[in-house]
Amino acid sequence: MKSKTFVSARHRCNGALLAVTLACVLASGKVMATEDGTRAITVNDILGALSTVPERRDCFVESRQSALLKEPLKSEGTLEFRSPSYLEKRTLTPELEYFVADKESVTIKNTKFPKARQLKLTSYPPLEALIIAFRATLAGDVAAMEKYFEASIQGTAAQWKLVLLPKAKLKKLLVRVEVAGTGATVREFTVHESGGDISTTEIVSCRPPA
Amino acid sequence: MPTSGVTAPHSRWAIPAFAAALIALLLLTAFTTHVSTDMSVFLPRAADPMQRLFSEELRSGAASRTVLIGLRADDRDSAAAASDSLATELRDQPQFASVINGSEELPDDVRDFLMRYRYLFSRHWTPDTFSEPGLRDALDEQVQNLRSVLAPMFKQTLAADPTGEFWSILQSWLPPSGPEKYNGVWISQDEHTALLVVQLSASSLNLDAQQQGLEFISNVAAKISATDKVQLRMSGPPVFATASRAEIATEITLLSTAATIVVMLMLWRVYGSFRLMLLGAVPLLTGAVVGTLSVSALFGGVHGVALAFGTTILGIAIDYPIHLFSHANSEENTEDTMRRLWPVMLLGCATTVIGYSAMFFSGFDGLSQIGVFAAAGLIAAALTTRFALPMMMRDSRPAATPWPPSNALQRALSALAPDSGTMKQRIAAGIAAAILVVGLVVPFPWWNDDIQRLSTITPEQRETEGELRAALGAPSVRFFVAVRAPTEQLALEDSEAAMERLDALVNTKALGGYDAAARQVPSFRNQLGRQRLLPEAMDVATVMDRIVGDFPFRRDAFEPFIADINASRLLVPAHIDDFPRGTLKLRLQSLLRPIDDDWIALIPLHEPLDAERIATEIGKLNRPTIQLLDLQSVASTMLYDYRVRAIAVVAAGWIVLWLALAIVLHSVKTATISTLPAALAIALTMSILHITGTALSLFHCVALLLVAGLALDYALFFFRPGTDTAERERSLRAIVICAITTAAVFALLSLSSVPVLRMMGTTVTLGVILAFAATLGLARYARGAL
Repeated sequence: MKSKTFVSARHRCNGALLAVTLACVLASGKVMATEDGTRAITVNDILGALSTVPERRDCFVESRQSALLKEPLKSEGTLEFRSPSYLEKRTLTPELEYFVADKESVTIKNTKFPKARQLKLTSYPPLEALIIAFRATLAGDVAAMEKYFEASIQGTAAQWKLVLLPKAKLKKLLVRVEVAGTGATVREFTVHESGGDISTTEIVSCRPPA
Repeated sequence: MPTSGVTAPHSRWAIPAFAAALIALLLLTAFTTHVSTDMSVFLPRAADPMQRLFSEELRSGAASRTVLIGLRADDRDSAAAASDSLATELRDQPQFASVINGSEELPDDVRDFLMRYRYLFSRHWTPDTFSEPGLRDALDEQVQNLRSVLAPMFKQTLAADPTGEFWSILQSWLPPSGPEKYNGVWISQDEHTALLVVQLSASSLNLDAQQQGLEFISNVAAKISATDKVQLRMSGPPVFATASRAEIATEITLLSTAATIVVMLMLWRVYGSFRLMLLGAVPLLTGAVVGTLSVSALFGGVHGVALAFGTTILGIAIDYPIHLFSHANSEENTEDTMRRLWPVMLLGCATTVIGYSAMFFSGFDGLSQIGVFAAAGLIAAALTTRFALPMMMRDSRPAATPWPPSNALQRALSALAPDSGTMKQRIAAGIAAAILVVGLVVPFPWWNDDIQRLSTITPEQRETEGELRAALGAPSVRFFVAVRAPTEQLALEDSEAAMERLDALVNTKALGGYDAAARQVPSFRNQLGRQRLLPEAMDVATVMDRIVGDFPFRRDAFEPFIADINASRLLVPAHIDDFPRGTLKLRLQSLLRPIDDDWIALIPLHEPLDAERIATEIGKLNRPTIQLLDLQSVASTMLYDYRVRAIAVVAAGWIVLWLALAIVLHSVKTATISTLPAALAIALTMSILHITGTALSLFHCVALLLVAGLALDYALFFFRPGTDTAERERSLRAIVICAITTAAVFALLSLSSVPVLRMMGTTVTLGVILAFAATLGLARYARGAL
């Protein structure tokens, strides 16, 4: 059951790979320009490149560091995104969890809620903000991002880092979100929470289990 | 006119003096009278505490100050933005006690308070929670929470509260069916209407202030709408109260103007004299002014409905000048005519005043006001007719060819003679008997004490109210569980007993949810009970030490938890006074309060609710002090109690009146025959209303009392002994005109859109026609008796 998911995931990844490569090639043109000193990359450049990918299917490795934890808390699974607003996160180890944010509805299914719980995203601003940090980045959706964050960019098109600073009330929970990527590929999300906790979600291509 | 030379010097000064006095009084009335519209004055002074609570709730309770607001826009972004702008603007104003649009967060002090008392408040934990398996489960769940998307939120209380008591308290506080949010503010299901709940600072006792508050909201909304188009919808008791006040005021002005014009034109037509037409209004005006001032003096203000009713009742005072004008003739001095009529007029006035005085002792502020207004006004009108009118009339007489024409009246008089038993009269008697019999047989309910029938709320207003209330998930305004106990703590304890039952109902979906003071701050007993169940901090620490190594948490991660267990064991239980100040505390205080020597805890219920099952479940507690309260039925019971009492008082009044008549007229038989048309008119009116499916209410009783007064007046004048044919013609003309004017005025009233006024209008129109017919029909028997 588990392996079947991974196999199909890999097939779809191949489809997406072409688009990603293409985007990389397009983006690299801009990198050249930057190195020539003519123009620095902007948030819109990166988000624009990201928005060209309509669908992504990858695996993730998540790790949380906290003052309460003696060692980072790890989990793994698959992450599926369909532009503009479908985000599915399936945690496979150490415990199964199914999480979908589709437009404004969120569905959670896990051992605590075995019967799938539905939430309306707009009713829970902190949750919405966290989802938006992921989803709006992947969709390259500037408008959605601006609702909760101020975005800035560092680095080059080949090696960029998007920094999202939360607005107003969210500051109680979040310090900042950093997204690292290469061209139209997102490599890692890092959420810096208030109280010093850091949660890192690394996006990797799916490999069959060893 | 030999005496006119004598009266002239008097009248020359009398008219300007009287006019000046009247104008002065009018100005005094206009500038000093406070008109109120608080409908609760039409509720009896409550006998039992539950009824009192209900009256208070209506008068000044939180509900009477709550405005529900919907801001509808083309899209949700505009709606949410409008909600924010409106809330920001209103929050700065002292006239709004609270403004809630969904963006409120739990204040830090409330949060700290709940954290501190969580082990004493939470109904979530059991001693097993702190056993090794219990704590293992808790830590397991916390690990899962840390992995979840919501980790940043859970993390905040994790170290101190691994068993999640704080969250469970917050969860229990959430409204069971609250609205969704968009951009942090409440929004309707269709996402076009932003929702707000505003509490005005002013209670319904200060309707002017409430109106200012509502106007302020409208103005702000209009300002917002200028840039971003939004449509404002408001509902709630303040909206209804101010709207109904405006409506009653408009209708009174409109209808009384129309009635005045109709009556004046009629007087002009009948007496053919402009002067008499104007003079006819003088007793009425005096009566209205004196009535208003008397009520103001006694009650500190006049209720709008009392003013409307009082004025309409006072409309019958037009009968006094009509009697005078109709009986005036060229053979005698006006003053002499008046002197001759005065005993009968006085008797009629006195009996009517006795009837309305009964209302004064009703124990029902609204009705007392009507009673005082009518009684004082009628006395003033009668006295004006007696002492001012003859002087003012000087030698004005009705035109030589009065209406109705003499020959018609003479024909009628001969038909009414005792020896002229015609077929027509038998048929009339037969019809009357048939109406009475059918009335008794028809199975419709006789009475309806539903207070809703008195309200001026339109169907559209009711619909808006329903929509906004449902969208906001606001609790039912009709059903409460009410707990009464001798002390505050006992009220909380009984609430807790009721809550157990209600929880079961919520679980089986027979109830949407409920609010209770005991949920926010439980009774001392409950808190102490929980405190006793708390384990020793040392024991918890031992278990945690043993198991924490099996989890990814640091060994010392849960030190705050152990410290808090220890602190909780030493806490003095929280009292409601300890709750941090703010909106939540105000809400709490409205749910639990002293009344008389007792305490009452109110538990509002949320839809959907199955009233029958709730009543059964509450009944199982077998405690009469805990009951499901249906406010609508409480109101109806109160109206029922009052109606029964009012009828008894009026019946007693009539016996007194009959005795008074018997003494004044020196004849039991005459007294009886004089009151007979009134009795017949009332019985027939009631029967006809009943047959047509109209259930009678308290206000029909007031109208019938008026009918009785009119009928008695007609009978006293018409059955007057020792009159010649010419005088009898004049008397008949007088009552014909009296009946027509009264019927016309009340027929106008029956066009009103205000239910009470309409009810009054139809009843009196019908009653006055029947009273007139009954007087004529019974005249033949009276003639023999007198």
